Amino acid sequence: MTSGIGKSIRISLGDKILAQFPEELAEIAVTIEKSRYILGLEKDFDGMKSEPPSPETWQKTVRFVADYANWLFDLFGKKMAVPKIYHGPAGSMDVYWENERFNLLINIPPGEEPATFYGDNYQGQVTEGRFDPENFQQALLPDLSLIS
Amino acid sequence: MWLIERIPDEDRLFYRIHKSYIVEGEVVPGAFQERGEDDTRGMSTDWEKYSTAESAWLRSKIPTDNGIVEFIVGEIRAIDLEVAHAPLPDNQAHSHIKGIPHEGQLKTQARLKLKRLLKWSIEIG
Repeated sequence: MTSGIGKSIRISLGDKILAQFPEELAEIAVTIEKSRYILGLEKDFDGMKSEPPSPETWQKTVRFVADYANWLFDLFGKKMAVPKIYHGPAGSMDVYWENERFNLLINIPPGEEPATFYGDNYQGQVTEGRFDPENFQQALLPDLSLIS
Repeated sequence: MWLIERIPDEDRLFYRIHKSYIVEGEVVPGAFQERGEDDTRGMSTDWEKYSTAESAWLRSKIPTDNGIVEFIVGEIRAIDLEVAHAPLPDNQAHSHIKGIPHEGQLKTQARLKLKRLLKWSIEIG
């Protein structure tokens, strides 16, 4: 659940606090909360024998989104564009941005495999690659505040 | 057995989307994935030459749990994916979209581009 305490908004799973935000990033907390539907998906949720993301993969994705948003805000005073967080193929998670100027998809697989991303501006400017979502500061990700 | 034909660029393919891949009214990128192994691996679709959107929808296990989107074959080929007629004994329309990598950023790229290309034929519900 999400609860605002003082200046902090917390995302929890059971007794475990997964992420905290300042009020300025409340929209990020909301989009994470919306993604909780993923925890309710069961094996064969689509009638095609698909595996849903595990709670661990969901948590890894939540940590990435929260840590990236907080990093941009704390270091640069920028607000990250609000993504949508979905279940992806083969137990993976998708983090998705779409607006008039830019379209970006990050896929976070289960286990230790690197995350991958692809994005473009619909006009030939392309960014793509792979990165460790738990060490994103070293990754050559696009500046996600630019696409707000 | 059916003859395997070349599918023209201007033709449409119908693809089933299960309701679990609709979130807040949006088709999620995870809806686009190849299934099967080896030669039978691909994204299963139905070619409009031998199927309507309605008959593709009725071939769903539970039609009311599914919708149908359509793709233009030439637009699929333009994003470096293949389209191949792959008829089944009981479905002459069956065709594959192939070439989505198993992993890596090219898989992520293909799914994002497929999401952009779809057009609803039969919406769920």
